[in-house]
Amino acid sequence: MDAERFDAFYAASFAKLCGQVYAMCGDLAEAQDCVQEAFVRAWDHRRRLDDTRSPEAWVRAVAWRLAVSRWRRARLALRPPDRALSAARRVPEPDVAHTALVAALRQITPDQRRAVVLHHLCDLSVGEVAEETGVPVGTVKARLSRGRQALAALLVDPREEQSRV
Amino acid sequence: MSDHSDGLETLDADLRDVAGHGARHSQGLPAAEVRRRGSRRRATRLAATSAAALILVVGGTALALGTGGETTTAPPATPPITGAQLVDTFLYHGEEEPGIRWEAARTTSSEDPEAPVSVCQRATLTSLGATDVRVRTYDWVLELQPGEVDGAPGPDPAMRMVVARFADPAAAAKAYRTVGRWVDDCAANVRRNRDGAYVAEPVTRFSEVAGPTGEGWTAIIGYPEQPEVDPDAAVIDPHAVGITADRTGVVLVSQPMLGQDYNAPPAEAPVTRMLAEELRLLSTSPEAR
Repeated sequence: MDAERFDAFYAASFAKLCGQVYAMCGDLAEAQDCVQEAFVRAWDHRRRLDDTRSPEAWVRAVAWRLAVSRWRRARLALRPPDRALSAARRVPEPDVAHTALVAALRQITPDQRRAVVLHHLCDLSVGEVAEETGVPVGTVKARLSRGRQALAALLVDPREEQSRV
Repeated sequence: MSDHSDGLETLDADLRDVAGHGARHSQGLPAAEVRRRGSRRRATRLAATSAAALILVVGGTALALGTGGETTTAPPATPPITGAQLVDTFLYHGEEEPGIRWEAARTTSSEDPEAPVSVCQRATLTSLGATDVRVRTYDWVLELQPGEVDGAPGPDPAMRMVVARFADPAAAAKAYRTVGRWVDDCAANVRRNRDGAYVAEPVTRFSEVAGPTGEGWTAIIGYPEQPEVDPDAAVIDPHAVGITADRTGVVLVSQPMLGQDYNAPPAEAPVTRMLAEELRLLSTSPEAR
């Protein structure tokens, strides 16, 4: 992949991938950092990228793994203070439904969240989700099913629940 | 894709709203800056260890460097090594990375035992009996176009070269064998240096150098970088070990980088070229320059 093609790929995919990874991790700044770093690695591995069927899936997978790695480091309190030293990003407040969905997504397991986003947002088939996440199709189906169940329980409208009682 | 009756009929659309919010409010770096960081990443290595190294062990009694460093005054039994006898720029894939070059930046007269120039190194060359040592550092330099800004954080990659002189050919030859063993056994050393976090691939010999100015060999050392993030990425660390034709000088080259593959043909690999050029320079009389 030469510089011109890479620049076009970056221009076409960066924002979209930020949105997808945001849905996966629930933190826009984190998603943006991870997607940015994944594109840096994509240029580093550009020869390999030429052989990849979907460069976008490659970048998304790397961004996801970076996000997971950051969570682990954050849990160990070893995270480098890069975010602390940078200016805070100002992002407009999302609406209530959006906030509720993001909050619910944060409460299901990361694997379920990734499967739900890849299947329902990125329009990947179960087989494609299995390929991108490196697990069997049956595992993807289970994650999707349990993820949906958990989301449904988390997103139930309190007023609806009240009316059922 | 939602065909369930679990109350999530609008999940696809809701997720698109979330992703759209993220996409609308994301801000990326300019593409040129992303590429620059990617090139830098390939050229650099983990911060825990220093970058590329060239170690030279040279027979004789004194060593003097002109470029980027001070000059020793000990009377030489053999012609002193001058700065002109040290490679002044690393022979990198400049043609593949336009706008990037290596530049000799600093030369010092001692080794830091806490910061060996090669991940394979188990001791300083001074401790092997070297009577004089110089360490040269090469900086990775971006050639920015007017209006371009280098906004990448962190230290730039650097490479280092060590030159040591021994009092007699036997000591230099012994040091050459020792340095060669360090490289051959580097997998165990990488594991030790990295506190068990990394396990190196077996060291494999890559190419040979033989000519009127000396001989030597190169090897590829590799170890995972961040396997949980990018299983294919590794620190690839080509090394070269050589001895001058007069059997008094020894060379060790190391060029760590991040990547997934090492595409250079053996005879044209930077470490091979670096070794051959350094042996040539060392075999050239300083007075002839």
